[in-house]
Amino acid sequence: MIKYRIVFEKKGRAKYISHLDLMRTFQRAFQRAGVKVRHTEGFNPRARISIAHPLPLGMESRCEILDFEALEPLDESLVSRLNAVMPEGIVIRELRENTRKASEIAWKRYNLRLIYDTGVPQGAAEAIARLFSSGNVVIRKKTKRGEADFNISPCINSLNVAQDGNDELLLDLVASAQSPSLNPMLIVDAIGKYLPEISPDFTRCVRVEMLDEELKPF
Amino acid sequence: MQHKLERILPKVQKPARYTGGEYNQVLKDSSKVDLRFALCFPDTYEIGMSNLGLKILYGVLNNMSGVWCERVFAPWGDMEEEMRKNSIPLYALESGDELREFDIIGFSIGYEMAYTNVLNMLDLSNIPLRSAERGEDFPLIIAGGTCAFNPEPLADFIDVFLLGEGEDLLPELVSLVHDMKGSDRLSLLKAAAKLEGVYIPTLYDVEYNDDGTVKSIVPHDGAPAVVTKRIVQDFENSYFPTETIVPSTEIVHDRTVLELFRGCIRGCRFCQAGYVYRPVRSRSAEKLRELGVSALKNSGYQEIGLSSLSTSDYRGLRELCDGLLDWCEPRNVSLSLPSLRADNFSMEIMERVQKVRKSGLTFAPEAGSQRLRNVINKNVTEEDILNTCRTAFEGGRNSVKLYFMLGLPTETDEDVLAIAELAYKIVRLWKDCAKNRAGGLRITLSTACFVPKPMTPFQWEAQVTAEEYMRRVKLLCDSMRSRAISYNWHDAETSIIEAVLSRGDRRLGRVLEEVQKTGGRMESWSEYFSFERWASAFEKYGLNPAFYANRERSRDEVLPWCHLTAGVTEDFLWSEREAAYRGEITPDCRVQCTGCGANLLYKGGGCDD
Ligand code: SF4
Repeated sequence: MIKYRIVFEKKGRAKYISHLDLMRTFQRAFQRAGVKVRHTEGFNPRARISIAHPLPLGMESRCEILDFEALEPLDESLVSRLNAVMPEGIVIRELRENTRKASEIAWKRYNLRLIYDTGVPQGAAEAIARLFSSGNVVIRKKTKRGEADFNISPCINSLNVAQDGNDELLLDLVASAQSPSLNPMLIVDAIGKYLPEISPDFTRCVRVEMLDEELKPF
Repeated sequence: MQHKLERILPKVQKPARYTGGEYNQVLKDSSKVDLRFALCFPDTYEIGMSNLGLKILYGVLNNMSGVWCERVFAPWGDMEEEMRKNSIPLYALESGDELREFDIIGFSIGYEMAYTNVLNMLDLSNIPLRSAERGEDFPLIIAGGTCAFNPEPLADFIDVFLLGEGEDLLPELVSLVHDMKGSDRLSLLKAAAKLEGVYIPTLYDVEYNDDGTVKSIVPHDGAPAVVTKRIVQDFENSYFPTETIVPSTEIVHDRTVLELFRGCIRGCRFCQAGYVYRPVRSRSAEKLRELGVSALKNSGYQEIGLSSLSTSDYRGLRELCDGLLDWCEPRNVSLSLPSLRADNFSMEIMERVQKVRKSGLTFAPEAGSQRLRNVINKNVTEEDILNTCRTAFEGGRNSVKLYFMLGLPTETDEDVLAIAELAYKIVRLWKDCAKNRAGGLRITLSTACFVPKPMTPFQWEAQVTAEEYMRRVKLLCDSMRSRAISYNWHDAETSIIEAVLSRGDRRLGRVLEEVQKTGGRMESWSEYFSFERWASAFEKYGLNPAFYANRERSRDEVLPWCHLTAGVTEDFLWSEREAAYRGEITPDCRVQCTGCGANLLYKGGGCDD
């Protein structure tokens, strides 16, 4: 039994595949590629695979990781074998031996693209930067027991804002991956609450990098 | 991905069903293909993607060079609302292009309750519903499937109907459309009418009597007086899809499916599929194993199912199951069998399959008494059922599902009460021989209101009224007090509409249009079905649903579908009806050919079974 990890992208139409469906998709893709993966016991054996940080529906990623145990040694050729049998938009980047615990992921980097159909409002970039440097950005968040106030500032390691063309703002965000993990779309919720006049018409979000405690690539 | 679509998808349930992009979808360059075909299924993605016929046609069409076939399904209510609000027309999943850009739009219609979805999908595509209102620039709208055997309610909306199996006929029609690009619509339709199995409703004039029955159906412009359905001649070697699309989201039947045979030898008199898909044609076990293994390898599915009208009638069942299981077991792939008939129930096969999962037993005796089962020619005896239950109970299984119909021709209260008696016999049997008593016995008993279908021996029958159906439901309900039995009955209202549409005529086109306009869609889903909506549409056009549903037809009445045939003669159907009233059973095709006429569909000669 050898523990492996693959790093993959999820983009385009594949961003609408839910976490559960993605697990099923990989289960079948392994089967198609003829990879012998360790299965669960019982009546209905399933491949034992895990995806450490489920991506919210509708978000793209360049850095997803999936862990599994293979019954036989694998080499780099697995990448192309798997890519030949994946649905559109899921692209395997590399195969690694799984030597680091996924719990060492402490931060995640995201790129948010805020889209304004009628052009970015004057001073929006500055206003957003100012808001998140205040250290106290509180939003209402749904919890198991109704709703609660939640200060998202401690979850933000860095947030840089730049304008891209006339209609878009680009936010480069490093957010906490654990206790608690920050859903980057809450940044947009916060803009909607504090700066409603510069709330974007639509936001695209891409997870670009998993980082460890030292902010080094995981 | 279309820009507008990206903004609405986050707002709807299960967006993955609206995106395409699955493994094995077929992509072609739209600028390089000669003909674009939108294959539409008038229900949800989850149901449509489970449909074997759709997979076959998708493969057949995409194997034609120069043709690109894409899929289209009906959006759920939340998605439809967002699409309308944001002016997003219905689009095909592969390319995302709207339906108006296609050359042919083809609907596969398997049940009447999907009719309003057909109209709604055209409406969502900004395509006028009525053929007469569509100019030459609009796509050709065609339809096939079980409903094509009486398509009259849809006659105003569909340009071309295809009768029977599409594997050969559809490519012929597509080639014709391709070759005749540039000529006018009427010339195309006239040429298409010459293909065997093609029905062009506008080439027939229908007149009515004062009492509302059909007076005459007269072809013109060279259309044939009778359109005969098409069948696949060489089923063994006909196309079977082994590279099927693997959905990225869960669907209803999420597995590989093998089609063992077409048609059915049984001849249950209520069953439309049993008559319109005659004669039986099967594939060899060897071929099927090969197809199954290659489909499993290609898809990565870990389950394979067998699909046919009456799977246990397949001669090579044991050989096939053994062959598949030898391959499947070491690979963690499970074989799921439909519930086999009690009379030739192969316990060994079941045993071997059940190693994986102990599922419940399912029976469809359809009627409670032997007398009534003879009337409908359902060849299952009480003894068969009890024997099978005994083996199952002794093997530790504790749940039984039973399906019945109420309102079958000649049914009396005694027949209704026999359903309860049968259930009680199963309860007593369980008490006598159950191995595993801990969980207790669970019998789930369901009834549906019988719907007389065209091209069956019961096509002349009256359906019982909703009140009468409910009286029988109550009678049955009151006679079952055991806690082991839970009784579900389907509502009668849906069955009435089904009965109206299945034997309806062209005048119902206006009703369908009105129902769609007033919000009717997804009518096979109880959360969307509204009887009131139908009732007021009937009223608006002065039509009485009882005329279609609850009226017995005489032998000499001109039935709205009398210019169409599935190969079985009307004389045969009538003689089966008389046999039913005498309570006589008709042997199945293997025991004895009773001369239904379907053998003439074979170019080479007689039926193979
Ligand atoms: S012709 Fe005879 S054998 Fe063939 S389907 Fe009809 S009854 Fe059955």
